[in-house]
Amino acid sequence: MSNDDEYCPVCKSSRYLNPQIRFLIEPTCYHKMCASCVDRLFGNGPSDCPVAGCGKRLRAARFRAQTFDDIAVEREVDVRKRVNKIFNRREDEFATKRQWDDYLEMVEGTTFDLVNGTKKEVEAAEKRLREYEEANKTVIERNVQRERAEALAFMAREEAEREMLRATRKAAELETEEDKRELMLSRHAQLEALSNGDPEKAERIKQNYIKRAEERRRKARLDVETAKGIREGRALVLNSMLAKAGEEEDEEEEEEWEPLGKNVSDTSKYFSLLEEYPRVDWIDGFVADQKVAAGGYDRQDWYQRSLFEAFAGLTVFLPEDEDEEAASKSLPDRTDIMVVDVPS
Amino acid sequence: MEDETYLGSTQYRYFTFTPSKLSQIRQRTNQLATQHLNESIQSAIQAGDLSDSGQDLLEREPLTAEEELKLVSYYITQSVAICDHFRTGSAVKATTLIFLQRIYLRISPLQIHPKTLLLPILYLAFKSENGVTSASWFIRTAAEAGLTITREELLTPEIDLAMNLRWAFQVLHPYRGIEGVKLELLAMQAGTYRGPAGETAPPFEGTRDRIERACGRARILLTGPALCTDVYFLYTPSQIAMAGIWVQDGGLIEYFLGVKIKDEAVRQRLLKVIRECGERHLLATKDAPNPYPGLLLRLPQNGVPISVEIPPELKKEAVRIDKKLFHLKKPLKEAKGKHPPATDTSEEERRAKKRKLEKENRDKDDVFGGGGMIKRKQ
Repeated sequence: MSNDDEYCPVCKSSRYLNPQIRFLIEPTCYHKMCASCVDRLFGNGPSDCPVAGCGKRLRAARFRAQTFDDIAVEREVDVRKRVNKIFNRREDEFATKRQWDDYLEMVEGTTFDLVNGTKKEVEAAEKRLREYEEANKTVIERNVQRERAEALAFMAREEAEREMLRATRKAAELETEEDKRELMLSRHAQLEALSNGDPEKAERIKQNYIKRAEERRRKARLDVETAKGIREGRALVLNSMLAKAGEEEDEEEEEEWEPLGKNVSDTSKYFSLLEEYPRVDWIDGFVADQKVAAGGYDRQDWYQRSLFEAFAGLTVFLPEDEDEEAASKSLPDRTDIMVVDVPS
Repeated sequence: MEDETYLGSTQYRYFTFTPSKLSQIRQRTNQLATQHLNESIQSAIQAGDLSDSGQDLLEREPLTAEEELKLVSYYITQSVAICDHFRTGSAVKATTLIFLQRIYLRISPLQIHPKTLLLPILYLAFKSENGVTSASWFIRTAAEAGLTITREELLTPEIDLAMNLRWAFQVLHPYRGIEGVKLELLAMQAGTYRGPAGETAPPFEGTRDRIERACGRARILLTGPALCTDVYFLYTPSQIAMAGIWVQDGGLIEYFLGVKIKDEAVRQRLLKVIRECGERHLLATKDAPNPYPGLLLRLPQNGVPISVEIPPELKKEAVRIDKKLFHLKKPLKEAKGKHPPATDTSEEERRAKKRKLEKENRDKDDVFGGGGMIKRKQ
């Protein structure tokens, strides 16, 4: 830190007079002042910046220590933080590399305008930022959540890893201890056997010990492998949780489905069903039958169906020449192609 | 709404054609079948299965498309008689006849004789119209008329029939449409008619009797002789219904359409189509000039009378064609008896190869990866 930075521009007290002096800035105008000035000026609520010609409204709570020596860098970092909070899309949201690059360029352009632009450019950039935020609220929120989920998952993974290492270390310690104990026991037993004048028994005990030690080692190796497997499995589960984190709100607006095709109404332009039609002998006789009526036969349905069939395809005219026909009829379906002749 | 629904139907998509297209399909079917027969004979000659010298077998007069048409038409009238024996009712009868027409549109009597398919088609029509039908009842009823058929013979062709119908089992008939027109006309006559916008109809001159008579006769026409014509391939069911009534009482339909269709140009065009359907098909006679010269359509001018009774001249013709067909296929039958595996397997192999090739070609541009072919029972 150079010497001329060492005094507060507001109260002119310097590090020489007050070695405990702390310098703070407020990210609205980035004018530096000492902690006691901040207390004095802004302790009773928001007030104007004391630097001549600035007059920005500052708040005590927003004052913080400067991280970077250069105030321009400090400001740029703040701007980038803010911009990245809003422009938080990810590469996998874009179909092509080109689109992603264009997006990055747009973000960088906005940031540059905010940091280095003239007043007009800054205003335009602010406006762009606001509009984007309005338009993409859900996407932004989703990405924030994703980020949070990722951080959580990362922490959980780290924790699991540490746990695993601890467990293996502990297992190894236990194993060494066990090994030592066994070795001692076996030696005692061997000595006892020898003192009893039975070298064969001593040899047997020795072999037995070697075998068991081998077995223990194999088991330990197996344990480590199982732990690894569990760890990997856990990582997989976490990843899948992560993938789900963003999806919940990922719904597109669906087009309204019309069963008869686009813009085809489901009411007829030829007829409207009357309440009552003049008597038709057979249908009236039919409906009068108790067995039929009990089954729920509805005369209106029959009217509807008859009238529908009277008009279905009425104004479908076949084209008169062949070219027109080829154009008007759609391609055959798959079932249409499958005709196998009957063996004679 | 009505037109869009109709445009989605299989009847429109697979079985509606212009007259020239219809005739073209029939010609093509005949050509393919003839070619197929000749190839089979040729391979039989090469295999040495034929006693005659081969060449004159190949130079015999082939079965023409016109003869095929007559033969199938004869079996349509036969089918009517069978339906009458079964007391099927008009819907099943009409469906049977239309199935028969549709099946012999793309296969030829040279491949399989219509005689063998009449009962399976009727059974299929029963099932399409009425739902489950007992096969043993069917076989019993057929036996009463002197037609013997085993269960296997009845059921085996079904899958091939279904395939040739392109799995389109629904036939849209004009009968309910006639009832609809009748309802509206009766309401107009009684003065209770209200259109979709609440408008009333101009006063109807005539009695209730006039309407009922015309509609009743139209129904008789359409459930009978009309089924022996090509109208189902050429017109939509509602147009056929209108034409059926128009034939009985032209003024009635003109009045009706005057109320229903406000657009003058559309109405005139529709009336033209209805008149054409009525005059050229439903009312066609042998003496009238042929409205479709050179085309293969079921018209009296082409020797296909429209009648549900079996016309004697058609019968005579059918017997002659049947004989010819028998002689054409005779050498193949002999060859098969002598040395069946040779021709059969090579033929099967060739077909299997062709099918596989076709399938591969199709699968290439299938977004779903293809492979969805139904295995046939052999």
